[in-house]
Amino acid sequence: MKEANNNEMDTLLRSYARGVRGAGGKHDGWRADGERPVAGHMDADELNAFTEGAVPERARARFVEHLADCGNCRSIVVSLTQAKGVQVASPLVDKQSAPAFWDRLSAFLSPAVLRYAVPAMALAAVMVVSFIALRKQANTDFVAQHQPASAPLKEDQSSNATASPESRTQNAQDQRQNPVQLSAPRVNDVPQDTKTLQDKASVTTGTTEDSRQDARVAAAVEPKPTFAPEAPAPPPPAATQVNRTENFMISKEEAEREANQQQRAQPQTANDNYSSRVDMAKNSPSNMRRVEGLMAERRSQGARQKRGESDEAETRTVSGREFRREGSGWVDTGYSSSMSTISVARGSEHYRALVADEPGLGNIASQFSGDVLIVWKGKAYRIY
Amino acid sequence: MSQRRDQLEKLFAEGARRLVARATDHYGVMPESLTPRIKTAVEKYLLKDDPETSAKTINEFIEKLQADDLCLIVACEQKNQNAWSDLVERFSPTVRSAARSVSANEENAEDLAQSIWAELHGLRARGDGKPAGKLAYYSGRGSLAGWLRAVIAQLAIDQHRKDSRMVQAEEDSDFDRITKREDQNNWSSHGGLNPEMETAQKIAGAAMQEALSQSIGQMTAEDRLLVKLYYFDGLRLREAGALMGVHEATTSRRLTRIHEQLRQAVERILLDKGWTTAETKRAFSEIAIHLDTNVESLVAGESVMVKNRNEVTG
Repeated sequence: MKEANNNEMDTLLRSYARGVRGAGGKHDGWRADGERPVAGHMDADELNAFTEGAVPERARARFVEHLADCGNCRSIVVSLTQAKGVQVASPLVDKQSAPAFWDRLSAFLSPAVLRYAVPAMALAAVMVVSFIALRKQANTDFVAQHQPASAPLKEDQSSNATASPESRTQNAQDQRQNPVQLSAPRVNDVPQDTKTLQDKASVTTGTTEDSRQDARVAAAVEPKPTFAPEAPAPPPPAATQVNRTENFMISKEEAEREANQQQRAQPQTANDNYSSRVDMAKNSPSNMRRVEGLMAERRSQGARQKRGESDEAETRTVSGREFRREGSGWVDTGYSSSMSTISVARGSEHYRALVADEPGLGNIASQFSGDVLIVWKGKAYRIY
Repeated sequence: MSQRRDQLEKLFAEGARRLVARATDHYGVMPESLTPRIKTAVEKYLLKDDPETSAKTINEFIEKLQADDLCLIVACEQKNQNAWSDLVERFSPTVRSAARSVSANEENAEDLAQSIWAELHGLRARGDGKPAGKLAYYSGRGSLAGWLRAVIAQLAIDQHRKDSRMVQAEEDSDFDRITKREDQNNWSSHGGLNPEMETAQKIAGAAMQEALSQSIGQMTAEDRLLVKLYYFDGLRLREAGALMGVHEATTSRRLTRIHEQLRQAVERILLDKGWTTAETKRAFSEIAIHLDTNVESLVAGESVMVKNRNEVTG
């Protein structure tokens, strides 16, 4: 409503000015209606000083009073302004030296500036935080580290190999008698003490069965891969965390079964899927290569998606005119802020008359569903 | 009173010394030669509005005078040939370009440029026998180039006034045509309406024009100047803002405020004349729509008018 009133007044004033100029053109220079003959015209020095903004405050007020009513002097000021070109608007009245720090600070913190600066800064902060968070998440998802088996394991194996047959046999019997007692995973558990392993994990290597048992034990005490998600669920059987109970030996199959059951119990996420795939990969080089390929594919997919979204949202061409998106509406690239804007509601009487008079304009407006600003024959029409 | 006068004289003398000191080339001009010029400028721009202007303000004013340009002009007044050569060499392009912008053809522009130098040199003599040159009117407050352009613009207007009687008759016929076309497109004419409606529309349009004229006259000088610069003189927002010493965005906001105030003022005037609120609202929107669709014919008429005016002003 306010904008419509504004447009009406703008149109009225333009027409009024044209009419007055036409009536005054017959006489010696035009003189707008309401302008009385003004005595004491400004001299060239005053006209120039005013144009260049080089007059003190009180003198400026006097000149403004005169120029508001004197078309002759105003026409000279206008021609001087147009001749010297537009310069950046200097501070009012005198060309002063650089404003004081407090003046600049108060100008920066004025409500007019803060009204726009605060939302803009908030938006920028949100975008930066989102960007950082997304990057972090991407890095967390796709980092895969393969932690080699720890030294103690090798030592165990070697010590097992060198242990006396009797002690190995005894320990193997102990394992069979005392099934593994799995405890809840303690992620921050200190890795096993090598000596403890040596003592407890003595396995005979004499017989084939024992050697198989050895292998199972060795696998059971493999270090937990660091890429596994740190979920409350107990780790897979290949975890390095060692139960500190006396008899911790478990078979690999039993541990895997346990882990699978626990994973099924947990809600599955895309990250979990990826992590589990990575877990499997540790067992074979081909799986490792497959996982690396998956990670690369996901990264490029994300980048392609982002590029596509930004490209298709920016510009549109309709009837040979280019429009760019601004917020929820579209703006003709030929629009400039100096143009007067006429707002017309779709479906209104005004719109129908406009479309009837200017079918080309109506055709363009019909290509957009929401707000659109169209430059037509030197005027800007905001269709909403 | 005499104390104040002495204080001012002292300020002017010291200011003149400082001004000569900061000039890049003072052409041998002595500070005493500059003192009367500085005094005139201070009286014109400061003391006329506030006779009790402080010494600090006066000193700041003097510091902002264009030292180089002022020394050049004073040296020219003193018939310094080097100064004259420099003046012509540096400012001939400015004078020629300004003359061309206010002239219809190259010949007139050349004549105008030549007359400028004569005016500056002062071929005429004053009552006291001294040449009546325009150089004495340059205060140093604005740039010399801008001052020269202003002098040329004033000369062009003077020339136009002398010649206007000769072209009046020819001009009238063009304006008659345009005025007739404007009558057909004025605020009150709607083609195809019955005579009674047309008369009513004419009366409404005339009343609105009068109300608008009255409202403009009641605005403050700043607002009135802005409206005239933008709507009557055709300056762009940026140019009008530069003249008013504000940013383009500020100018735009001021215009929006002025629109609201003008509308309220016009409505008030019309209500006082017996109109109803509904009638005023309807009149605004109908006239605006009508004017909008006829704007092309109005603009075409206007461009012919502007062309003729430019030819007349030479």
